[in-house]
Amino acid sequence: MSEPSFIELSDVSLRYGTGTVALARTSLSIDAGDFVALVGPSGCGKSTILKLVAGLLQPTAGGVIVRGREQGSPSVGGERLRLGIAFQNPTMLPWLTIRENVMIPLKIVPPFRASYRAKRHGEFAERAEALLAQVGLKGFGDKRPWQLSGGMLQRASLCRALIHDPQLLLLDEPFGALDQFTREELWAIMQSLWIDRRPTVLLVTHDLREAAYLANRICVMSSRPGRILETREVPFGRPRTIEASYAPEMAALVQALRMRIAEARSQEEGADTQELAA
Amino acid sequence: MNLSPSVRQRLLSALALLSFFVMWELICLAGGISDLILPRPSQIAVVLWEKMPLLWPHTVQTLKTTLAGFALGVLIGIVIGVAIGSSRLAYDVAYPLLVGFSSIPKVAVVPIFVVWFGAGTVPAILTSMVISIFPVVVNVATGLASTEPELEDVLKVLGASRRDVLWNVSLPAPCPICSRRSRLPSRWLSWARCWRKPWPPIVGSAT
Repeated sequence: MSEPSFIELSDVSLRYGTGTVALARTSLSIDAGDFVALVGPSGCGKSTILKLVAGLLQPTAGGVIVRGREQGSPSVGGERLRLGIAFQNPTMLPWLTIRENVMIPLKIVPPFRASYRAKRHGEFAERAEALLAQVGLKGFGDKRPWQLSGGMLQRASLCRALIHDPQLLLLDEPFGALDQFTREELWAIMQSLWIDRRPTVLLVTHDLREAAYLANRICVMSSRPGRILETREVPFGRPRTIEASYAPEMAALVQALRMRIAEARSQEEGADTQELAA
Repeated sequence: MNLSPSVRQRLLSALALLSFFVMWELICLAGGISDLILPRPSQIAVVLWEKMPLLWPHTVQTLKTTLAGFALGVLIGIVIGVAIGSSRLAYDVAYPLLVGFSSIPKVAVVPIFVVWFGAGTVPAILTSMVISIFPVVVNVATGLASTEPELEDVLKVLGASRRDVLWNVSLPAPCPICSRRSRLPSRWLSWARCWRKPWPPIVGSAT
């Protein structure tokens, strides 16, 4: 008997209230501890898949099963899946310090929540500081969000997504708004955090090099309504270096992905002209 | 002199305050202005000191009624604000009503209170309450209705209840001092400061 995957999307469709079909019969399965990237033309429903997995959206048809349970269904007994999420916008609370911002999940997620009051100045604060140091923000815990640059806030946002040791980490273009150097630095940090903790990661990105550098598997999506066209294994060993992301093998993979997406886009244009003609 | 910018700014503020009174004093003296028209600050200070036994009980009374009214206003304001801000529909429906109420000059309501409750403590408390209630309602409702969707997603994914979101984000968020570069270390102090003021958007002209 084959073990069910950690995340299983089977024939999932989603139609928004406005009538837009974001996803049409998409299937995807992700194993525990895997690092999967979703790439595709803009507006193809990458973020929609992420939100379905997070339980923020409910599919119109099909099922989203996460760890053997229908996502979004009320948790019956049993412990809830620990999730972490980070977006392109770091959304820190401006009246809290960076450390307090990073500690927000501990305030909300069981079992940490019960002992938050007792441990927020002790164990939990140390935990946050250790994580901040790991992403290069040692000594910035007492600063306020507006005192930090965009890249630093994004690091803090990663810490906030990881502080409660989530089993599943969802990343929606978390490095999208950063400059090239900061972005590459954060890729390296993200990789070492993943190697350390091995959460299951679903990364949505439009940066193909990012996908190739970080992920074990890359799913290429078609234009709206989104479907998964192709899944590619990324065969390179870990840890990968930034230099390796410029090596010919990686470049060839990125080029292949690029061609696939360009194809998907031109098909969309083709469909549009057909619609016009009809 | 090597002073940190914040210390220097505070010193200058104190200096500006002091020089205001000194100028006032000097202008009155130089212009020979009569006490009846504009008494000098030094004269005012003397009278304040001499009449203190008479003034003090009334000052305390005023402080008590003001604080009682303020506390009531904040309390009721938060309840109404939460009710209105918890759904987009309720917010949109109630908004014109709020604008209408908040544009009534509060002084105009005082005679009505006096007619209803007579002169005394009750109308004083009510007046103070009415002044403080609308800024609180509007700020709480706006804070609730305008929580950044991505931030809300972050919290929802963590399994936060409505009450978690309320306590951690929506209630602190309406405070403009919270969201800007707060110089105050204490969150509670800044909270108290902002709730007292009728902040924009819609209460700007109210008081």
